[in-house]
Amino acid sequence: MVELFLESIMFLHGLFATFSIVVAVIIASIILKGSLQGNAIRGLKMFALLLVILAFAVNLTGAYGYLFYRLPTADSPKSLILEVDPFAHEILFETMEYLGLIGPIWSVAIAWMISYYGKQLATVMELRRTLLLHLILFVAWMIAISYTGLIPTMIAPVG
Amino acid sequence: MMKDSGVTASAFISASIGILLIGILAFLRKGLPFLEVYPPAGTFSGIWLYSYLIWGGVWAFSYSILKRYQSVWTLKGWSILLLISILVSTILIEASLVSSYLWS
Repeated sequence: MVELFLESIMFLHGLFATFSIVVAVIIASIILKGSLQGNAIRGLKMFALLLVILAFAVNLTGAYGYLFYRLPTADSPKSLILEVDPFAHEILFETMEYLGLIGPIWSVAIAWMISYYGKQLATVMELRRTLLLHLILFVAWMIAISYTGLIPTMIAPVG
Repeated sequence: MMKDSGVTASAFISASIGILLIGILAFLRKGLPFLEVYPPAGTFSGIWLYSYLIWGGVWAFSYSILKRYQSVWTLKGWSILLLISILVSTILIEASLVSSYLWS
């Protein structure tokens, strides 16, 4: 039962990470389209809130799995990975572990820009450019972080 | 007209400080035992807790001071500051991980 729960949480962890990339791309594409009227702004705000929820959900599910990942036993994923390929844990996994904490803060900054400036996004080009830059870098960063988490768990999955 | 940027400043200053703190704490984690707030999660728990608390605290504090200012630098400037803090934090974390890997 515990294993099934852990497997489900880790499945959700991957799913939330994928969805946060998708949501960031959707926000960027709405901004790129240019015609930001009432409904588009409302949609942007909803997607921005969803991005924040997903970013926090990725961290919370990841933190739960992390407790099982680093159990001090010989057959824990961390112990197995360290035996096979220390680089996968010490560089890749730990990169995800620490850099991953940046995601929710960054997503809140992005969502804040969208919700605070709202309608001004339709008229102020500087705002749109700034937001697009953040979204592009956020997507690239999410893909890189997901990759650093994926490689170690291919050696020894959690759950 | 753009909305006042005192509020923008508080959002970006707090985010930049929170992100920078993640990098600094991760870099110094081996010499800071108080980071093991929840031992099963190791220093990760303390880095998470302290950086997020500081982020929220700085946001509330700077908001109360800066909200009345109509113009505090520019959105572009704050935005670049946030991206620099992400870059510096990334460099600190990677430097710490690579050095532990090479010399362990």
